[in-house]
Amino acid sequence: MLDYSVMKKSDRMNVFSKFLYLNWKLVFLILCVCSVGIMILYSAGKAECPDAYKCMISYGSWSPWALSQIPKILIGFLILFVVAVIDLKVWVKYAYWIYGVSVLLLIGVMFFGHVGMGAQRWLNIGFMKIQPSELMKIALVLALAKYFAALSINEIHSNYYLLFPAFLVLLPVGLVLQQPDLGTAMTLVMVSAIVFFIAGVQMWKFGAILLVVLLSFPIIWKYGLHDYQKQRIVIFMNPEKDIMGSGYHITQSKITLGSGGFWGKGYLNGTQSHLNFLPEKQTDFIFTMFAEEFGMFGCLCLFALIMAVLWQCYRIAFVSRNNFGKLLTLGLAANFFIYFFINTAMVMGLLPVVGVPSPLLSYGGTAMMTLLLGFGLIECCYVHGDMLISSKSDYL
Amino acid sequence: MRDAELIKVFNRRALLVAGGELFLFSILAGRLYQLQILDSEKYKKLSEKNSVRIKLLPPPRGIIADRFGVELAVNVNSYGIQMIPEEVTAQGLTVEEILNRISELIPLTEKEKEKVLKNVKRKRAFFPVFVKNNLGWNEMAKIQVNNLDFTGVYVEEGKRRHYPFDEIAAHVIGYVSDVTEQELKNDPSPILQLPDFKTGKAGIEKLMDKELRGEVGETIQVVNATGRVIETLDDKKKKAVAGERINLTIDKRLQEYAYNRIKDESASAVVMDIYNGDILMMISVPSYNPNIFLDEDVSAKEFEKLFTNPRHPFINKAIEGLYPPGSTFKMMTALAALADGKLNANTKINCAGHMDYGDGRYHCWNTAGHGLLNLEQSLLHSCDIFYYTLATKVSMDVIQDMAYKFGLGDYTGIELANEKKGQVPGRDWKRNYKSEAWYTGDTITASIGQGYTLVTPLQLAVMTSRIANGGFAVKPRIIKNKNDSNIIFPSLNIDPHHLNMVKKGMFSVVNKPNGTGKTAFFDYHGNHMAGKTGTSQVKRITREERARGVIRQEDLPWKYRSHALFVGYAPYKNPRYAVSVVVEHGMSGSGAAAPIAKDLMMKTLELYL
Repeated sequence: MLDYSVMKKSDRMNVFSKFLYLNWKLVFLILCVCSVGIMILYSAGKAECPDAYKCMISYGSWSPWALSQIPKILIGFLILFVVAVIDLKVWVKYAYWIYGVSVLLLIGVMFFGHVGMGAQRWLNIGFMKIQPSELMKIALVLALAKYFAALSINEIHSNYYLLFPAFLVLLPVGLVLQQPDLGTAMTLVMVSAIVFFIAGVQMWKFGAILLVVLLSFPIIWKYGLHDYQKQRIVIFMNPEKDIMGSGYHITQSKITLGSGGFWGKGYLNGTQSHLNFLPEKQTDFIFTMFAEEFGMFGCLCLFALIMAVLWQCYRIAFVSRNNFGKLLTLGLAANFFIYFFINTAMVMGLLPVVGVPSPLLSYGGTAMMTLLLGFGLIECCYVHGDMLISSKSDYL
Repeated sequence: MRDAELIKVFNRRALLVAGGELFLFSILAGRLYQLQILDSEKYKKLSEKNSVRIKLLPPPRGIIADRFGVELAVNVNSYGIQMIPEEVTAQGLTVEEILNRISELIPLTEKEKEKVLKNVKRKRAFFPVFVKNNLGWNEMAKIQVNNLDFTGVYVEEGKRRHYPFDEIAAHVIGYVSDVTEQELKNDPSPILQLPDFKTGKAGIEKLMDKELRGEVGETIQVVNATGRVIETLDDKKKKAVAGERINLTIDKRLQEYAYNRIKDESASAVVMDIYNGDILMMISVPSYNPNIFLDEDVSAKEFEKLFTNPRHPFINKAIEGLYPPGSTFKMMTALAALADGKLNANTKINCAGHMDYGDGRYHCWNTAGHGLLNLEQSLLHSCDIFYYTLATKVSMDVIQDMAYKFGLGDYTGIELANEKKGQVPGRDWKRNYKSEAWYTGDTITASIGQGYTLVTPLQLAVMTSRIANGGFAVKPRIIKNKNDSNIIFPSLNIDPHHLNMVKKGMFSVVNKPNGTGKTAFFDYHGNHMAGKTGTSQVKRITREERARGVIRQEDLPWKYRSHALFVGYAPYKNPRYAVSVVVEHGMSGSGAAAPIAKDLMMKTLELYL
């Protein structure tokens, strides 16, 4: 016998009504960020042009980046919608599977991966190249959310129950470090820490881990880091030391940012980025280019936009009635934020250049799609926010 | 979700994370404020320097041409290596290090390196400095190929001054050479900061330096951070304005002829248009090749040889050489006496070979004496006694005044650097410089152009022109100006009869078989030259020497031999050109100077009549 009064709304919804019930504010905000990305990619493009001077004043072109980014965004949104309307319980059920597949892909990269930018990150799966480490970020949050959602407060407080999630974290981190990809490893660790934290793991345990890491840093420095990674850190400490060499990126990025001033040089008028002073302007340094053309004012507006995205995520987490949804939403939001923070701080010279693109802004498919996949999961949590996932059995 | 405590923890922790994220956002905003507001100016400057570089375009130096447009000073292509010190040091290299790297490809001597280092020090850091000039293709290509390793080092195609006719007009044209410390200090014009900029150091190049320089142009180049030019914005280019072209009054053909005629002497000569003052030819020998100042292969030894040559190749003897005019001055004494009424067409004076006046005995060059002479004959024989006698009658003031009228002892105003003034002594002069009174004995010596009188060959040419043109104060000029073809010179108010008497005498000098200047005789289609020889003593003949008998000039050391002079004009009937020749220590005007004058005037008439 069905009791409709206790039956939740989401149980009654079909795929189409779920689609209508999506948090469209969040979708809109994400679309805004993606549009900003397209706008900058358009500015970064420079078409072949016979008259050199005219090209200089009329920079901006759909090729080679802006136009080819659009289908990636569209595919991303398609993924978002599909993921969002799938029953949340399905995600709970397959969380570990997804995690497992991601780990296998990471291992696959070690053997069949493409080498790019001094690291083995790419896996060619026929029609496209993917970066399993990107997928790993989502999968790890999924797995951790599933694990912690099933625990009681007492269990969370016991060390024994932390062994398994610690293993969940360290396995991909180890694999990513092998590539080597310091940026992604850092992100994985930080996102996991936030999930652990929100789940209720005691504060002192974080302090203890931090202490251990700091104490073991000299050993990691000596044995754990590649030369180029060490170099990056050294340069980060003192970029002026090597202006024309590796410190070049940071110095040029700072010049580009700083020269933008408060109002910026105006859209399509950035000189630094257009004249190729700025390296990888379409990927890692896209924020710098934005900052040059739109100034501090534009940057603060962009921050506000990112914060609005995060705000929507928090609202979804708070109204969600299941622990899995809360943890998953905040974990993925944290992933998005950390992504953004590391990239922005990096181009501003606050963090070493670790090769993290700007989320939703940078040119590239995998990052865009996995990020939108993440937002899809968040939307899914929203749609199924009234779902009660109570018994432990639901999590198995 | 039944675990109420868990929800409480979750909410609290979620807010903490949100707070943390907010905190990190504020860090980013703070950093933005630091970079985009506080340090913005600094980064804006860096960004401008980053993207565009203003490249100065050196203007081609003005061409110097002769009166018919034959180019005497031109610019030719040359390749050189430049370095921008600022860009070199920006990559953490010292200038020395980059020089060492360059010298692995192109040999650089220690001296060249020192020069570069010196230039780096004294010029501003963003101005390029020349490393080496006049490179060949191979050397240039080596640098180009290795361009990547040499940030801040560029191969420049430039222009180099060249004097195609080498020595022939060196003194008139002058030469250019590196900017000196003094010039940098005194002249703030930024053009001097250009790499390898040269300034005129002598002649027209020096005097007209400002006009010849032109205006610096600039082009805006877009460069990337390694300094490599990405593109040049041609429409933002400000073209360099070439220096003024300067046409001289010099005729290259005559100049070349004169140089070849007298290059082995130590002499100078001037040919001048008596009506408009055009200097058709001005030569001073020995000469030098002005190209040596631009050729880096010329050794210091060769320079030293030139600088220590006792015949002074770097001095333009035509305007810087001061000589006693000797007998060429006799026209002045005669004109003064005529003007003063102490001499007329009928005056005859006896020459006994010597004359006693006061305590002194004054000798004629012909100790046997010339007998009774009138003015014409006195010039013809260049008798000294005739003029000594006039000197006892005419005040030195009158003679001095006449000499000044004809342009002696004063600047001619020619457009050349370092012109000497010379001197025509008088009462005031002697009081001021010798603190002595003027004696008639001084007038006697001065009457034949000896003693304290010093003139330049150009002044002699001016004097001769003013006699020949009927007493007009013609001024010499060496720069041809389009607007002054009808210039009228003021009259000197000389009685034309007086002038004619003198001119007749000068005609006889050359054209009479017993004239002292007969070695200058020619008949060019019925055109003849009138002139006057001069032999001026460098060393006073002492009483003892005279007692021993006249020493032959040939027996004297070169530097004690008399200077040989000749002034003349032609054609006698319808005068057009004046010539003056001074052969240093040439011993005799008729022997050394007159034949040269003859050839120069013949050539002039050949070209212009």
